[in-house]
Amino acid sequence: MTMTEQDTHAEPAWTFESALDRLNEIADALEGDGMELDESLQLFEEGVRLLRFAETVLADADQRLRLLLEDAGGGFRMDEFPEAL
Amino acid sequence: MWDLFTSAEFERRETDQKKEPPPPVEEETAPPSAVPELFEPRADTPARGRATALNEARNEDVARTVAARQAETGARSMMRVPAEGMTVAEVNSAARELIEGVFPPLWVHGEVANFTRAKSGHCYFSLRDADAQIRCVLWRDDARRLPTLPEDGMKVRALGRLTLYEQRGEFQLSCFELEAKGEGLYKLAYDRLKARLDQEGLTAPARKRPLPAHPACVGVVTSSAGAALRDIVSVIRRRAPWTRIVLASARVQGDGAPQEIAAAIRLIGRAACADVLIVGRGGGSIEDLWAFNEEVVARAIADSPVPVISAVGHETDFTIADLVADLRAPTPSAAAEAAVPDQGAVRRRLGDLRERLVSCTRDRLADGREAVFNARLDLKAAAERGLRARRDGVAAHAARLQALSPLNVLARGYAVPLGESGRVLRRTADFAPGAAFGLRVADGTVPCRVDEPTE
Repeated sequence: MTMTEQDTHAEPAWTFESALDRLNEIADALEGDGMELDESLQLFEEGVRLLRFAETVLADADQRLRLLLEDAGGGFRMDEFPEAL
Repeated sequence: MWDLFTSAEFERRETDQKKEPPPPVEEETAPPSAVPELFEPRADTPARGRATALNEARNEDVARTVAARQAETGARSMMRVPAEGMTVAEVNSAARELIEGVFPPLWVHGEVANFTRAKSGHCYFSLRDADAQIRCVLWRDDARRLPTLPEDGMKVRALGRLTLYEQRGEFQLSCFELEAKGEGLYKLAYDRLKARLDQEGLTAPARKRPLPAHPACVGVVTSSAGAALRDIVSVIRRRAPWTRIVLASARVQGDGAPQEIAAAIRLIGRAACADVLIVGRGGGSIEDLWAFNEEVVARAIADSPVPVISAVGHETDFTIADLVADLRAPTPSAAAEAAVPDQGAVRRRLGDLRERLVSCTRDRLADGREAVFNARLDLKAAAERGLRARRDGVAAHAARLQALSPLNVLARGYAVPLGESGRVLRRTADFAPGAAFGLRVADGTVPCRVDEPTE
């Protein structure tokens, strides 16, 4: 299997889904009891970073339709789909 | 089916079939009486009567045409035959010409018997009634278009052209369409495959995977030219415009479509580029949708590493693809709606999370500030308490010191003799004759001298 295009789906540290899940966890933890203030401030900062990440994802609305093509030899590549949609 | 059939199509097929090899030798032959009957049709014979009644509505035109042509070709039946007779080949050729010339393509129905599929892929069988049968051939390319091959005993309807296989002098129906009555060939093929997949557990509800709530990328397997793709893309752009869409294009009907669809599904899986996969097409007839009832497609869906939403555009019937997919959507648009969340809901959820995060942190900080304030108060109180305690301690010490001070003793009238170095002189031996010493009394020291030796 070869990847001829680099940026096809470079797995980011966070996906939108995992970021939302983590944010939920953080909010639950912050709302719970028995946490040190400095720990909660750290969580808050992490939450803010995740919120910023999630908002960046949502703002990136200019997604092109891509065409996945099979290469000779079993590999594949992505092309821009010539859209008239 | 009759309506779908056009004469142009017939001509094309006819030409194609002429290239096909002749049918193999058949063991079974039609009863000899059947042949003359067709050359001299007697509308009042029981067999003929039944056959006409069965196909009366559709073949009414055929009957008219046959009558007309018979009238036209009346001269031919009076053709001059040489005294020594005709050759077999001449007779067969003339008969074939006559038969083919008189009968337009027609539907014939009856029960399938002795169905065999030769190695070449051509199929041979008989259609029969209680009293008559006719040899039939179904060429390979036409047979391949069928969802499955019929079984002996099935009631079918065949569209074909009557002809005579000259080498064997055999009268036969050369078929290009075959439809099963009642249950039908499609139903038969569907049931056979479904039973197999059920048995393997591929259709079990427990196998269905949940869809990701917020896919970053949606894979789509459909025709690049179809309305299905347009619908899917527009729904995703409207609902979740940040979602990437990757198309693996496949023809969704016609020869080779099932293989293309299966290959595209596997390609998406290999590329590992999608979080969820939509496989489908817009609506159509059962023939148009048939690719989604094929085993290769079902197996590719079952093997997909990401959840699959089937979207074969039909509201009521389930295709095999629907049964194997993780979710069945009635249309491509519905599949897209199921695949991605609505951006309003997503933004609301994100806003809620932000609010929770901020408000509970604010509360926590306020709590913290209050705690610090309280702690400071506590500290101050504690410090004051400590200071007081210490001050009290010092006073106590001072009192004790005071109690122990030798000055008190001196005040009561005692005196302490101190040597030159300030050493207390405790014994007589400490007083040398003539030595000077001080006598410490309450208000000072009195200089003294030892007068005489002590005893």
